[in-house]
Amino acid sequence: MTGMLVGVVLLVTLVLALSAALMMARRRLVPDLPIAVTVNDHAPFESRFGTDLLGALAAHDILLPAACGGAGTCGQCRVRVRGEPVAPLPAERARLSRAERRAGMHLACQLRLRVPVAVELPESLLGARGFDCTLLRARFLTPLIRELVLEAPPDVVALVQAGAFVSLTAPPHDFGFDTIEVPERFATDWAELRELRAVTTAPVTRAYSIASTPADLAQEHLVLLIRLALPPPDRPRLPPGAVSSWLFHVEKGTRIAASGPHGDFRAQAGTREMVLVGGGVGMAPLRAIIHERLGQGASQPISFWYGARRRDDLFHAEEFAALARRCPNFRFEVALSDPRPDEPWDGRTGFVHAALRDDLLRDHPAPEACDYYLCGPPLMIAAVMGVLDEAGVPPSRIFFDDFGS
Amino acid sequence: MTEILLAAILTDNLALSFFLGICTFLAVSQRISTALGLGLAVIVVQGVTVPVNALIHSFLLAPGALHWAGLPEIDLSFLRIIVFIGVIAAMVQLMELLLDRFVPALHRALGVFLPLITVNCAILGGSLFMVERRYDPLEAVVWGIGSGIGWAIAITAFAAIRERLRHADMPEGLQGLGGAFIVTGLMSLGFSGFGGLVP
Ligand SMILES: Cc1cc2nc3c(=O)[nH]c(=O)nc-3n(C[C@H](O)[C@H](O)[C@H](O)COP(=O)(O)OP(=O)(O)OC[C@H]3O[C@@H](n4cnc5c(N)ncnc54)[C@H](O)[C@@H]3O)c2cc1C
Ligand code: FES
Repeated sequence: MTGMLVGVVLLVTLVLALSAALMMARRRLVPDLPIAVTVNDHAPFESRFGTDLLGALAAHDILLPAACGGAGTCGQCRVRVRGEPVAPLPAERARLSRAERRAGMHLACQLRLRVPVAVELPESLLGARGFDCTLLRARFLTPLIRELVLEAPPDVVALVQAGAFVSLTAPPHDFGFDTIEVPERFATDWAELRELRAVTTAPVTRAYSIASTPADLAQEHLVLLIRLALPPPDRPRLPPGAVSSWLFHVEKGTRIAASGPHGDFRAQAGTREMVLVGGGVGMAPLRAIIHERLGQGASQPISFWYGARRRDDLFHAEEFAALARRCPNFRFEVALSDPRPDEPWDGRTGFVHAALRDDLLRDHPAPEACDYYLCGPPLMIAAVMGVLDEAGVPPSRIFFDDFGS
Repeated sequence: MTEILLAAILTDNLALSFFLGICTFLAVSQRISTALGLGLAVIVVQGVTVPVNALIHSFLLAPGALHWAGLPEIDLSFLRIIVFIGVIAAMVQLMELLLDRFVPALHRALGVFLPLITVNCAILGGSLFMVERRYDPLEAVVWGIGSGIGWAIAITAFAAIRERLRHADMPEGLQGLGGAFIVTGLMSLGFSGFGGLVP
């Protein structure tokens, strides 16, 4: 009996003593101190010891793009830290080049505040803020691409420049793909997808480029092109993409939490010839840039090279063709890589990088004097980078938007 | 004392003679720097928990240990495991706080393997061997630090070999863990050569 009692008392005392020791250590090591954060040359604001910089900035209404939500995998939340160099963490080493690290770049989501910091951010990011938008219209453009038209607050729209993107947050959801409304003509493409289910238990945020023309923006409309992220073909049991699935499911009138505008993919100033190359939903920022430029009366040659797999995957072609008829300095070229034998197609076939090489770069007097804007699937971007390199285009003339997929 | 130290590091090497803590040994040995960091953490944890557990054991748990409190007939040694694990858990958590505060890069690199030291059999094994072999508290200090050093040397050497092997032309099926198991076996074979060193 005494033995049992002594044992219990001993055990309880020991656990209490260990917990007390840990709590004291925590008090010393993670003190609840205010830490000053300075952004550019603005007045510093206060955050708490141990918060990550991304969260601290967000609490101060500075919303950095963060597609991975702070996991350190998207590399979008970059900031430059002034003063004393801070050793980079492994996640930062993976995402930032050596030159960037030397210049003091860090991922805000990885940086924990322990001492006062001063960071540099593009002023354009400081305007970004959280807002709610409303889904006005949605339609299928191809079996796997849906166009959303969102109504956003005027002060947000006023900050949008062509090439920018917004972050959208999908609330926790759980629905089957059989509840997604699909137009009749795509019913066969969707037959096998009906069994999929989209389930998330926490809000998820992803980036989407704004495809609005100046006319859309004048009506405060943000136009987005969403591609449904399906499980990779070799691993069909994985869940479909969290946010894109939800965006295929949302109905008219839904309020969507967003932040933005973000990003520094922009048309460069000047009158150099512009060559834009896109594939899939990579059309989004390029469409915005082309319409903005032509709308401003740009006079330099502008060409848009678009790659799709087959007729069904091609959208907005009529719009660009009409634009090309109206503006003599604009040229629109499409290449289908895998057209179906039963569909009529008398245009170019093959990959878009080959078309670009054979029909533009080969006979161009000075490929290195143009600006190149790329946006599309990683494989396409890599192939285009290859032909541009062959044509002697320096990397500094190539701008690309990486959808990180 | 020297014998205990040598035994702890070489002949009774926890990783290579007893195959304790092998999960972490295999998982965190991709890079020398991380392996070394984890090795140092294990030395500290081992160097603190084994002596603390030795004190607790000889003054509270062992048969007759409560002699000083006038309860010589009580034997609490059956509480050994739960108490040892409690002490280890607290130590590891302290270690986590310290690393996060002062060496955040290492803290991130170790990731989940740091808290997993709590249930690392090498750590608990260190304390249990100490009891089994009836080390006194002073010997426990030497054994604790020594066995930590032994484990750290093993994982660092292993990581160094794996770093070299990354560029070796291994048959496809042996790349990664397959090769790692073979290397572990060979290293263990090598360590068994220390066998006669300590009488
Ligand atoms: C600057 C920028 C602009 C962008 N603009 C656009 C745009 O205009 N239009 C657009 O459609 N997209 C755009 N994106 C991409 C977009 O942000 C998302 O990455 C994309 O929609 C996929 O997000 P998701 O949440 O639907 O999929 P996620 O949930 O992130 O899943 C992605 C893929 O991983 C698969 N997957 C799920 N679980 C696993 C697992 N355990 N292991 C391996 N794979 C798994 C899914 O099936 C899916 O194929 C942009 C991205 C960036 C960075
Ligand atoms: S938020 Fe994605 S890397 Fe920081």
